[in-house]
This record gives sequence, structure tokens and C-alpha cells, in this order.
Amino acid sequence: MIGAEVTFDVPIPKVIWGWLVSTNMWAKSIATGSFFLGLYFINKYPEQDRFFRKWLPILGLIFIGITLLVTILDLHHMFRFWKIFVHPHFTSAVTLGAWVVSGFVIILLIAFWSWLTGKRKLFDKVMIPGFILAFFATIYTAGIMGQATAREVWVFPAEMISMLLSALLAGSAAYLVIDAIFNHPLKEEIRKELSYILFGSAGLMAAMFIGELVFAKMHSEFAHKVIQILAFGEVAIFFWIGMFLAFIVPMIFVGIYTQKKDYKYALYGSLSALVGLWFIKHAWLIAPQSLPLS
Amino acid sequence: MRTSRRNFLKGLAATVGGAAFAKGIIEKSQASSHIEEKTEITFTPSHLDYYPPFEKWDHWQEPDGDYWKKHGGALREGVKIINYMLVPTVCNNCEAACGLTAWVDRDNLVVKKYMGNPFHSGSRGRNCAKGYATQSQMYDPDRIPFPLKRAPGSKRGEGKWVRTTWDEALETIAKKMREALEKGDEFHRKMIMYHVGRPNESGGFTARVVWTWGGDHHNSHTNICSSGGRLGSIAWTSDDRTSPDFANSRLIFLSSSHAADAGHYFQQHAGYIADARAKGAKLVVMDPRLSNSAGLADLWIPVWPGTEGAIFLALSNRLLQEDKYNRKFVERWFNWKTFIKDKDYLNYLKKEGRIQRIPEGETFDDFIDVLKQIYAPYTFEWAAEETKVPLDRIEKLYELVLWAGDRITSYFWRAQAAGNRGGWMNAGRTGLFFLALTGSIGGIGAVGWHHWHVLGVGGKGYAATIGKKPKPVDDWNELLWPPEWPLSTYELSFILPHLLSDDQWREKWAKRGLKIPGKLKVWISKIYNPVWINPDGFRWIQVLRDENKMELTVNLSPTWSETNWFVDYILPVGLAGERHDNQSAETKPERWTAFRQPVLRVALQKMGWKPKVPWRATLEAHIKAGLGEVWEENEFWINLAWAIDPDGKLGIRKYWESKRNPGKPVTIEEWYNAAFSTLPNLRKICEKLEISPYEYMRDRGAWTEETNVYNVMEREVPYDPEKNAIKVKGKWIPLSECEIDEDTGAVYLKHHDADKLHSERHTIAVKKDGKFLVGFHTPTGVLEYYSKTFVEWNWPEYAIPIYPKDEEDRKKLIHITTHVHHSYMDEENAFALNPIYRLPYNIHTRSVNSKWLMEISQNHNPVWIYEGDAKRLGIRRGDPIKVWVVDSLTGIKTGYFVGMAMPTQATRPGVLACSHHHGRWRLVNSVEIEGFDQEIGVLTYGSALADIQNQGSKWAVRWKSGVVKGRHIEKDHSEDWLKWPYPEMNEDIKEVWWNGATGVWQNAVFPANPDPLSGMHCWHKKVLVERGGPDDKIGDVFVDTEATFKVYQAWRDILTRPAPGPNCLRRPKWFKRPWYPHTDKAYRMPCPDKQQEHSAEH
Amino acid sequence: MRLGFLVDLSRCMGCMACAVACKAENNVPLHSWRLRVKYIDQGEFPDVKRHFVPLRCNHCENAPCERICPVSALHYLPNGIVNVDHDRCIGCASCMMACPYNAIYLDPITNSADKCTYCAHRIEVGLMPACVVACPTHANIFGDLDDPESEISKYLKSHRDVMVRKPELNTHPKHFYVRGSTVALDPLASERPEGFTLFTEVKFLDHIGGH
Ligand SMILES: Nc1nc2c(c(=O)[nH]1)N[C@H]1C(S)=C(S)[C@@H](COP(=O)(O)OP(=O)(O)OC[C@H]3O[C@@H](n4cnc5c(=O)[nH]c(N)nc54)[C@H](O)[C@@H]3O)O[C@H]1N2
Ligand SMILES: Nc1nc2c(c(=O)[nH]1)N[C@H]1C(S)=C(S)[C@@H](COP(=O)(O)OP(=O)(O)OC[C@H]3O[C@@H](n4cnc5c(=O)[nH]c(N)nc54)[C@H](O)[C@@H]3O)O[C@H]1N2
Ligand code: SF4
Ligand code: SF4
Ligand code: SF4
Ligand code: SF4
Ligand code: SF4
Ligand SMILES: [Mo]
Repeated sequence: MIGAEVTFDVPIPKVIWGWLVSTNMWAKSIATGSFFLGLYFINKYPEQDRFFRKWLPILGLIFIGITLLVTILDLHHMFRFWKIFVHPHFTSAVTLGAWVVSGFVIILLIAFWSWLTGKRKLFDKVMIPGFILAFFATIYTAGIMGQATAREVWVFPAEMISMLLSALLAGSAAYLVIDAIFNHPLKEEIRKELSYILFGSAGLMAAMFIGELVFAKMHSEFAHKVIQILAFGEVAIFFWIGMFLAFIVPMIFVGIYTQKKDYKYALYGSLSALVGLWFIKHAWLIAPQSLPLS
Repeated sequence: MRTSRRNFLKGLAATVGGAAFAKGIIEKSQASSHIEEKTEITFTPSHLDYYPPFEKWDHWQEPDGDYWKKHGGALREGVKIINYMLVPTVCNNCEAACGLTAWVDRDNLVVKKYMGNPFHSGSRGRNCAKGYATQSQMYDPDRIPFPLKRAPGSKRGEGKWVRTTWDEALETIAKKMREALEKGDEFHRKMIMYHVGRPNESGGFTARVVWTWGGDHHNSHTNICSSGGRLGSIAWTSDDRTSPDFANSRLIFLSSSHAADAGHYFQQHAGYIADARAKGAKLVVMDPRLSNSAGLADLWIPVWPGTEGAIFLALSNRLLQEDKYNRKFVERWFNWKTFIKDKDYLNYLKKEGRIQRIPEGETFDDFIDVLKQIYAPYTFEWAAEETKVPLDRIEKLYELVLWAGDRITSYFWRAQAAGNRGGWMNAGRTGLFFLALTGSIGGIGAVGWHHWHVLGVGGKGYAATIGKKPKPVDDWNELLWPPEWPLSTYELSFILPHLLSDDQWREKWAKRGLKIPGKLKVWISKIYNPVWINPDGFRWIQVLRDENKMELTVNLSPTWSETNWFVDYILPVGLAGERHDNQSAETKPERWTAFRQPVLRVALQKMGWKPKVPWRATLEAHIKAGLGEVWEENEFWINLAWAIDPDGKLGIRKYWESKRNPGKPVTIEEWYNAAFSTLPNLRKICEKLEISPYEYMRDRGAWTEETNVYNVMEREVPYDPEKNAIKVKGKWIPLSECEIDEDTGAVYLKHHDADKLHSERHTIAVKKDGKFLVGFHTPTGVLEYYSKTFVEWNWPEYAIPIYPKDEEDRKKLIHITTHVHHSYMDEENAFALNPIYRLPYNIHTRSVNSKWLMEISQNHNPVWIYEGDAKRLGIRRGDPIKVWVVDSLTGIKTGYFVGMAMPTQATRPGVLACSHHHGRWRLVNSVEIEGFDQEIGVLTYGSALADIQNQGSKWAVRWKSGVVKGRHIEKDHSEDWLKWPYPEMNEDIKEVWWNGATGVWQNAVFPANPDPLSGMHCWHKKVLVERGGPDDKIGDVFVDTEATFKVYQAWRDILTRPAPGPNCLRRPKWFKRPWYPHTDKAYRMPCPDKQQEHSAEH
Repeated sequence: MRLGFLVDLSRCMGCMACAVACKAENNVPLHSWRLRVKYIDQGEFPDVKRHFVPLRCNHCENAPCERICPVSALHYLPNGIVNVDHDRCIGCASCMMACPYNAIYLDPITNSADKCTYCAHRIEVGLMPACVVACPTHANIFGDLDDPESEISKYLKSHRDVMVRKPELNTHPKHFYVRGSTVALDPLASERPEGFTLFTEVKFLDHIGGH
């Protein structure tokens, strides 16, 4: 017992950003992750680039579409979203994000057009700007989180790395799933490489979270409390499901897959990673909102 | 940056208001109140004021906060300017009478907000939450929009209402009153009763109204409020309360919660206390509960309720034994000579074992010697044991006392005085003894007195009428002043239904020649909710419903209440900004007075509007402004007088007939102009300004007649040696008509045997060192350490400040032993319940109509219980607990209530606390009125929906649901003129988020426990606490009104010593009858033995 | 001109006059508060204290809310006030995520972000904020920090125990407290158990804004 207790207070807001925002981050990880990996594989394995030139824009558009949709749905003034373009405020990561994502959507549309019409050059020309936009589209959320000064565990560089890792995790998992659905059009090598990426990003992310669990109490009291809520409090269930599905299951299954060469396991691992990613994003989003700020 | 504010305002010159003023009509017009040019606004004003300059009050322009936030303010879409008129008025939410200004939007005649009034020197332009909440009460969607009348053929409480008119109501009431008055006898006059709660007016306007009806009709609610607080003070000074100079004191030693919760003059006093503390004063709060005041105090004395006298006397004893009392003051101002010369009484004290020896001499030192003997047993160790306060806290307190010298302040009003049997002794009687010993009386930073500072003139407007002043009244109404309580400070109001339903009691007194009616013909109440705020509410309901006991019942109330649900007429009179009153309060050593006004009426009149019937202007104005058919009391009473006595035969009309317009009722302007004209300094300034006093008060709302009012007792009374007369209250009184008490110098009127009988005295001055001084209006003209009056009324043991020392003493002095003394707590689960404390943001049953106040407080009154006690009984936070009420005198259980347990460190072990501000209820969510096309909500966001069951004398309450949530308010009635239910103001009512069913109506279970001396209802209760069973729900109440009645009878029969007193007096003559004067005859009752010359048996 | 606020916590008595005055002045709907007053009970019987602390927007000089607002609905006025524009606001709630002091809410009627504006509209005509006018104990002190003669500047100069909330966040609040304590100003120094308390129901809102 601290010996001090609030005996009068008004009700205060708690969850300000909820599942729509978790979904936003989740979908965006898939969209940008599949873009990064698509570029990488197109360049590394030009002989297999049909697959990626097709799925990169499709995955990208679907999931960035979802991202945009939930973003707008989450606005309390949905039909005013356009103001962000008319009255932009460029210190805001939200504004930057909106502009970057818009740019990214254009790149994706070009990629899609290029795939549809077979004009490969078209896409090749925008690869570098596309990469930059995808990169920023990935990390601007980290920027927002960083600017959300109220929530102390979200600190910028760490959050950025975490975002990039989730993009890689989600991107690799997404391609593995597509590969499985369409009966493994990918070369074994690529699949393996995707699996390694999945394994690696899962491992690194897990390490980051565990690091946070261990080290948070050394940052600040607030961070420590948040981590307590995350690991043992009201969102613990989301967090541990997320940890298990997003990191542990994929790592084990991918391990099994590489050992046993049984493609099923890659699929299961990937699905688990995608589902788990949502859970862990959600837990991570909600936990710091559960503390009174004042 | 230079301010362009003035230019900007000039540029905007009130086109709307101005045009309207010229045309003399008000029309809605908003278009022109925009400024497009944001450049004219300054973000950087050269200085910031609290209020606009007075010259601009009639036309003040200010951006609209709501528009501002919506459109980004001046940087974006410009601003919308509101054309305000600031009209002063007075807050009605407690007795502090703080100034308010209504910010009337001239364009659409709504009050956008209420703020304070900077002209009001008591409140200094500041207010508490309740002051600001006035606006939400005004536009409460559950307000009653027009007079309601019980539907013909329906029973009281059935909830069938029809709409009626003010004229019909006036006529019906007047007819009934006429019936009684025309009989012309006292018995029938007693059947008319006006019954007020917190009157919130000063100087007696309504008292004069009632007085002009000719009998003893005026009932108040004071005996549930503060009679205990007053009696101790009256015994000392004849003034019923202190007026502390908090701002300049060094030690503020409260046995109340003035610093942060409530207190008689809440926010003003709190402000002065804060000022004093900023200058280094210390705050000590004595309270069994950690009030907010105690929570911020320098020292909390968590006393056992009702034992405070032990602390006061222990402090006094120490001061005496160490010779640290203020000798100069005590010698000059105590009636010590009277005491030391009264050998009979000293012998009595010796016989009682209070003193061991009677000094031979009669000097001051002999007096001190006796005091030292009397108080020697009251040591700090003993006090710590008795009060259960840690010894070191008492020691600490004593250090502060010595440090503070003669600058100690306190205020005795409720706390122990209201909670406990004998509270009057434990508060003012012993407390003022301690204060007076330090000399903290009258000076800077000390306590002065109510009558020194208060300045009410509301009843003094009679120069404007033909009738002038009525004669003193000859009647004595035993339903107000039953003979059992001759020393009671005020009317025994809370036992009115008990008196009416007690035939035996009436017969008993009939045998002794008193004629007491068994029913009332007319009962009119105002600002009063007796069903809910009194003890034994079901007894009230029983009697209110009984048409044989109460023939016609009327409640003047703007809002619904538990009481008006059971009456015949609900007449919606106005709230703080909707009626006239003069109000003053002794909040500091100054004399200020303030004017409450119907602000929309004033605004309309200033804009050129004229009423059709000048003596009904307020009603017309409220209709005009769309507020509703809302009237005010003042005009209602004047019109009622004319309705009762249309031809003047009853002699009532003339008192309300205009001198300027004979044959017509006096108008408010005439009356108050005459009333305020009685203030000489105000008159002077008005002459200078060339305005009338009425206009001055209308425009500024407050006036301070005198500042720095200290030591009034030392002021000289004018003496004319030629006439050999002294001037008292403007009249020369020849000394030949007076006698002088040679021991104290008291100058009193010759009267019966006033030289011998203190009870017969009327003191007008005191002669000291050859000069006539104001002194105190006690029989001895000075502070009465020893009150011989008590001896004459057969209470010798309480003639001096005293406290029971031990168990044996408690039996003897049972009348001043708290009925919740710890020695009565035999059972393991027995507690003292403290049901009297206030929340700083609530006011009795008036907060329920303010959405803002309800949002803060949510109809939630949990039962505070010390954590250790809760643990012991296995009670956790939020548990329902069953609280049985047991009378400690008789052992009778009257019932129980189920409250929410709130274990806390903030109340002392053994003492529970539960506020009376919540547990409000309604029986329906809304009522339908034929012909009116929208339902009228009933207390929807501040009460619980109750199911009340009754079988014989057994009553049960259970909450069915809480507040009404998600309610949409639309204006879909067809009466275009009516803005009700004010949808623009209540868009957010659908956001009600609170539950409202966690409170409980505890008062219902309390029996009436009138203090045998002061008549105060003793609020605290001994209770037994159980954890609630599966069938118990928070809010449940169960009561047996037969049991409560038995308890009441026991307190009456075992504890009181009824009148008559000496010379067949019903009451000491110097114990004033409040409200209006009574004749000597009225004061006397038939004596059993006519010739009995009373001498106190010692 | 830099307008600033100071609360002398030794004067505040928790009466909520300021909170209600603010509601009235700014038409703040039920369910929302630009200004709230928190009570904290500390200690064990009989050594118990109650702390009162009014909490409103700090008008940070380095305001995270202003920085994150994508459309500048939150913006600085030339006098340092962080102002808000409901028309402009798109309701993204980023500001609520950014403000470390819980000073912003979504108005359930307009569905836009809102918070204390230091009564900017009253400043325009040279009047003190409503809550300052109301305060019975003069615990609220308001004025120009740039003007050494203002009451607030003098107060700041003459008190050594000036505190702001969460100074470590570098937001540079222009809202100060004197004679405060950690218990009063640090939300983690006390527990805020949900449910009914001595005075009220302490809870988190189940929804924000108008939906
Ligand atoms: N905010 C607010 N202010 C008000 C009112 C209101 O309703 N709300 N009502 C007005 C009215 S009508 C009145 S009469 C005054 C009354 O104002 P106060 O005179 O202050 O009286 P209470 O609030 O009844 O009680 C004051 C304190 O006494 C404590 N107390 C209770 N029993 C005992 C006891 O036995 N001994 C001691 N030592 N303390 C005890 C209570 O816990 C409480 O904190 O306030 C007026 N001002
Ligand atoms: N348990 C417990 N009970 C108590 C107390 C306590 O401490 N504990 N305190 C007692 C004390 S000290 C007092 S003073 C009483 C107060 O009790 P009451 O004197 O009854 O006063 P209120 O409840 O303030 O107001 C009564 C009614 O007046 C009406 N009303 C409201 N505003 C206005 C108005 O502007 N004009 C008119 N004409 N009517 C209006 C409403 O119908 C309201 O219900 O309560 C007493 N009851
Ligand atoms: S202290 Fe009383 S009179 Fe003054 S503002 Fe508050 S409620 Fe009104
Ligand atoms: S009005 Fe003043 S005393 Fe009351 S809560 Fe607000 S700051 Fe504190
Ligand atoms: S307190 Fe919060 S809302 Fe106010 S300026 Fe600072 S960050 Fe913005
Ligand atoms: S909610 Fe409104 S004010 Fe807040 S950041 Fe979003 S757009 Fe700006
Ligand atoms: S400055 Fe104005 S907006 Fe801010 S809390 Fe005070 S009253 Fe509310
Ligand atoms: Mo009262």
C-alpha cells in the first residue's frame, strides 16, 4: 500500500486508440513488409520476379487499403480527413504519415499497373522512391508513438526498429502464406530465405519485448507500471497470446519446417505470426493507456 | 502591446441591444453580433480584470466561449459577441448570501452564466460551485413550468396533477385562510401555518407578511439545523451566534467545517480562513470525521462526538490553573459578581460536589478560586480519555492557544451542537467559556456577534404602505412552541406531525387550559422539504396525506421534491435570480446588505419593457422571457394579502397597500426603496449619485454600510442628562422606566419583578464606570458565565458551563450527555453514526436540480467506516451494510437502512459517517399533465426511482433504478412562448453517465429526538452494523413509525421540564420569540397555582 | 506576453467552484472536464491528510499536443495560449495520446478535441479566466509571465517550492504549483482504485467522444 489513495476524481478517458489502431499497424506491417521483401526478392532473384511483381502490389494495396480504412473509421470526424491535406501541420507524424502513405499508395498503384500491363520498367523506375516511402510508411507510426509523449514505453528509435521488424515478420509471413495457398510456386531457396527472415525478425522482436519487460523498471516508474499491466495486468492475455503466436510458434514451426522440409509448418508458422502480431500490437497499444496520466 | 479592446468594443456598439432599447421591445436577432475583422481583437490586453467596469454592465460585450472553441477563436473564424447585461442578484444556495451577477444575453433573454458580484464586500466577487451552478438550476429541464394542483378526486400522493393558474391558487388559499381568520379567535388562527426551511432573506419581509395575518403562524425549520448551536451562545450573550473575524485571527479553532466544506457562511468564511492562514494563522479542526477542513488543517482533533465540552473545559481549566486567562477581559465582562454573590447557588454547587469550599469574600479572586475548584477535575489526561483524542494533540492545541492570545476564532453552529443531546452545552456554552477566558471576544481577530454585523432591512419597507407596523401578536401557538421546551431556541418544527397526531398530548394540555387545534386549515411551506430532510419522514408523509389533519397544503417550490409530491398545490416560485429578497449575513466585522432580484425582469425593465400590472411584474416578466409561469414569493404574498382581505375588513390589506397609489397593492420598487432608505450611509451616497436607494441596489446589488465593526459592547449609548434618558434603537428611554443591576450595571426595563427574576428582564444597556454602554442584552448586561435564568427554569445544574466527569455524573447530567456516548456502545457492532456533514459542492435538497452538481456527487452517500472496524466486522469496500438505528435512551430499534460501506482512514474508530446530501428519491420518472403535450421530468438525473411499501406503521423503501440516462430533451410542446425545458441549454443531458442509486435516505429511520433544553433535533444515532444479506440492497430502508413515535415520547416525557416557569411564563422574556414581537400576555400561560411565586429550588 | 497559471495548493480547499465555473463559462458538456479537482487521502488514522489538486491544461511551451495535431486544430495564440478549433479538428485523438497530463478530451457534442483554453475568449476583452474569478480562496493565480509586475511573476519569485507536473518530459508547462507535494502532482504517487469512493465513483470512461 502506498498510503495515498484518490478519493475524488472525475471519470477520465482510458482507451483512446483501440482495436482500429492495432489493426492499422498490423495491416500496414503486411503492406510495407511485403513491399520491402518484394523489392528484395525481385532484385535478388529476377528469375522469380513474376511472383513478387504480382503479389507485391496486390498485398500492398489490400493491406494499405485496410490501413487507410481503419484510420478513417477511427477518426471522430471521418468526413474531415481531407483537412489533413488542406491544413497540414508538418511537425505532426500523423500528417507526415498521411502524406507518405498517400505517396506509397501511388507507388503501389504504379506497381499494380506495371504488373497488369506488364510494363516492368514502370515499376523499376519508382523502386527507390517506393522504398523510401515504404520505409517511412513503416516508421511513421513509430513517429506517432514517439510523439505520443504521454505513453512512455513508446520511445522512438526502439519503436522504429520494432516497426521495421514487424514489417519483415508480416511481409515474410504473408508471402509464405501466399506461397502455400498457390501450392508453392516459390523456389525452395526463396521460401527458406523467407523463413529465415520470419525466424530472425520473430527472434529479434521477442528479444526486444523481453528486454522491455526486464529493463522497463529501470527507465521510469511509469514504464515499469505499463510493463506490469502488459505482462500481468488487464492486457496480459493479449500480450502472452501475442508472444506465443507471433514469436514462439513461428520460430518453432519454421525450425521444424527447415528441418523436416514439411511446407505445412511454414504455413502454420506464418499464419500464427500474422495472428500473433495483431495481438501483440494490440497489447502494446493498450497497456500504456491503462494508467492515469494525472 | 497596446490594448485595442476599447476601440473594438466601441466599433461593435450594440446595434441589437441599442435598437431594442429604443423600440422598447426585445427581439431575437443574432446576425449582427459577429465580427468579421479579427484584427480588432487583442490577444495581449494591457491588464486583466475580474469583472467588467461597472459603467459597462448594461452593455457588456464579450466573445462567446462556445462559439470560440467551435470556430477556433479570433485566429480563425472571428468571434461571436454576446451582448450582455449584468444584473446583480444574490445566491440562494446557502445562507452566506454571496453576490451573484446574472449575465443576461440581451438578444434572447437567457442567462448565459452567473458569476459573482464585485460590489459585495462579503463575497468579494467570489463564489463556490453552488453559486455558479445557479444557472443549471435555472434551466433545469425538470423544473416545474406552471402552477400545479392535485387533480380533483385524487388522493394526496397519488401523483395526479392538473395545471392551474396563479389566480385560482390565490383565490383558493385566500378563501380558506379567510374562513379561519374571520372567526377572529386564537384557536382558529393557530390553524394557519407558514412553514419555511432556509429562508434566505434578512430583515423579515416574510415575517412581516405572516405577522400581518395577525396570529402566531410562523414556523421555521431551525430546530433541525442550529438550535443547539444557538442556545449556548444565547445563554452567554443573548445573541444566537458568533461572528468571527477569521481573516485576522491567529488560531482558527473549528468545531465545524468552515475552512473547506460548509459552514454557515461557507465560501466567504473559507476565503477569510485561507487569507489568515496565508498570514501565518493556524487551523485546528475538531471533528470525528476527516472533513476537507480537517484534511487540510494544521491539527486534526478526531474527537468522539459530543465530548467536545471536555476539551473546552480542560483547556479552560489549564488557563485558569496556570493563571493564563485574560484577567482584564474576564473581570470586565463576566457576570462574576452575580455568581459569587449568589450563595444559594454556591451552596447548591457544594452540595453537588462541584466545589469544596465557598469563599468568604466576593472579590474577583474569590470568583477565580471557585472556577479553579469547579474545573480542577478536567485535566488533559481526563479529557484525552473522555474524548479519545491522543493526549499529545491536546497539548499541541494548548500550545497554539497560548501562542494565539486573544485572537482565537470559532463558530458554533452544528457539529456537536446539532448531533448530540446537550450539544448546546458542548458547543457554545463550554466553547465560548474557553474563548472568553482568552479574551477572544469582540476585538480584531476574535469573535464578534451576529447582531453587530448583520444588516437586514427586508421587512422595513413599511414606509411605502398605508398600514405601517402591525401590533405585537397576542397569540401563542403550541404547535410551534409546545410547553415542554420552554428554553427551546426555535419552533419545534420537526415534530409538527407528531404534535398533530398526538391526541393524548393535546388533552393533557387542554386540562391545563391550553387550546391546541388538532389540525391545520392551511399549511404553506417555502424552501422546505420536511419529508426528506427531517427525521421520521414517514410520519410526515402520514400526516401530510391526512386531509383531516392538514386541510389545504401548499408548497412554494420551483422544483419537485419528496414533500411537494404529497401536497395540494405546487407553486413554482423563482430561484436565486428570479425573485426579490434582501439578504445579509454577518460574515465579517462589517455590515453589508445585498439585494436578490429577478434578473430577467430587471433586464427587461431596463430595456424599456413595462408590466401590465405593476404588482405582478415578476410573473409577467418570466412569462415574457419564456422562463415559465414562474412567480416570486414577495409579489405572491402581497397579492395573497389582497386576496385574503379584498375589502380591508380583516385589517390585513392596509399593510400591503401602496402609500403612493392608495387602493393599489404596494410595488416591489416602492417597498424596497423604503426598506433600503432606512440605511443612512446608503442614503447619503444615493443623494450624491442622484439615484434612489432602490436603483442603487438594483444596479449594484450590494452595499456596505459600515466597516471595522469591533467591540460593539464597548460603544457608548447616547445619554441625555436633561431628559435623564438613554437612546436605544432610535428611541429615548427615560431611566425612570428602568432599573439598574448594581452588580453588573445592567439597565433593564421595569417589568413585573425583573429586579429579582432574570427571566423577566429586558436589558437595554449596561452602565460601567459611569457610562452607558451597549453591553450585551443578557439579564446582567454582560457575558453570563452564570445564567440565573436556567436556575429559574429548574435547570440549575446547567446554569454554568459544565460537563459530566464520570459515569455517575453522566446519569445525573443525562440532558447534556450525548446519546451516542461511547459508554453506550455495548455491543461489538455498535457505532455512533454521524449523519451530519456537508459536501462542499452540494446543498441539502437543492443540488438535485443542477446537472453539474449531480455530476460531481451522483446521489452517492456511502457509509464511512474506519478501516480497522470494517476489517473486524468483515466488511469490504462497496459492501451493502445494514445499519440498525437504536435509541440509547429506551433501547428501541426503529428500523434500518442499507448503505454502501466505505472503509477509510478518514473517520475515527467507532464512529460512522454518512452525508445527508444524497439518497434522494422520486416515485415516477415524469408526470403527464392534461392539455400539456410534454411530460414533465421528476428529478430525473439526481435521484433514484423508489418503491415505497407501507403496512400499518411499517414502511419499506427499495430503489428500483437510478437516474434516467440517455434522455433526450426536445421542445415539443406547443406553447411557443415557453422555452422550457430549455433544450439549447441541455443538449448534454443525454451524456448523464452516473448511476445515482448508491445513496440511501437515512433520515427516514431516525426518530425525532428533541434536545430537552434547546429543542434541537439530536441528529447522531447509535447504530448496530451488520453485513448486508443476500436480500439487502443498497438504498433499502425499513422503519416502524410506531417505534419512532415511542422514542420521541420517551425523550419528551423522561427528559423535559415543561413550562410554566416563574410568573407563569411560557419562556424567559429575554429569550426573544423570533420573527415578530409577541405581547406580554402571549408569553404567559395559565398557571396551575396562580399565586405561585417562583423561587428556584437549589 | 506569456500567459501562465499558478495554483497555491496550500490555499486550495477542493470546493470545485473552479470546475463548475469552467463548465458554465465554456459550455463544457457532462462527461467532460477542462478542469478537474482531484482529492487524495494520505496516511493512517489519526495522521491523515487530504490533498486537493486542480488539474487543467498546462499550456506547455513545448506542447506535444500541438506538435502532433495533424491539422493544427491545436495551435498557439500570440499570448502563449494553446488554443483549440473544433471545426478544424478531424477527431484523430492523437492529441489525447500525446498530452502527458490527460488535459484533452473529445467533446461528446461536437466530437472534437477540447481542453482548457485559459478562457482565451475572455482574455480578449481583458478579463480573467472564469475559474480564477470564482476561486473563493484565491488559490488560482493567473497572469503574464513576461511581466515582472504581474501577481504570478511575483508569486513565482517569492516562492522556492515552485513545481510543475512531469518536468522531466520537457514540455515546459506554463502552469505552476506552489506548496504542493509529490502526492498531489504525481499520478503514480497515489492509487486510483476504480469504483466508489468516499465521495464519488472513480472510473474510466467507457467511451470517448460522441460515439
Ligand atoms: N456546502 C454546503 N455548505 C452549506 C450547506 C450545505 O448544504 N452545503 N448548508 C448550510 C447550512 S443550512 C448549515 S446549517 C451550515 C452547517 O455547516 P456546519 O456548521 O459546518 O455543519 P455540518 O456540515 O453539519 O457539520 C460540520 C462538521 O461537523 C462534523 N461533526 C458531526 N458531528 C460532530 C460531533 O459530534 N462533534 C464534532 N466535533 N464534529 C461533528 C461533521 O463531520 C462535519 O464535518 O452549512 C451551510 N453551508
Ligand atoms: N441527516 C441530516 N439531515 C439534515 C441535516 C444534516 O446535517 N443531516 N441538515 C439539516 C439542516 S442544517 C437544514 S438547514 C435542513 C435543510 O433542509 P430544507 O430547509 O428543507 O432545505 P433544502 O433542502 O435546501 O430546500 C428545500 C426545498 O426548497 C425548494 N427550493 C429549492 N430552491 C428554492 C428556491 O429558490 N425557492 C423556493 N421557494 N424553494 C426552493 C425545493 O423544493 C427543496 O427541496 O436539512 C436538515 N437535514
Ligand atoms: S457560499 Fe453559499 S451563498 Fe456563497 S456562492 Fe456558495 S452556495 Fe452561494
Ligand atoms: S475554486 Fe479554488 S479552492 Fe476551490 S477547488 Fe478550485 S482552486 Fe481549489
Ligand atoms: S498540457 Fe497537454 S493539452 Fe495542454 S498544452 Fe500541454 S500537452 Fe497540450
Ligand atoms: S483530435 Fe483534433 S485536435 Fe486532436 S490531434 Fe486530432 S485533429 Fe488535432
Ligand atoms: S482557464 Fe477557463 S477554460 Fe481553463 S480551466 Fe479555467 S475556466 Fe476552464
Ligand atoms: Mo441548516
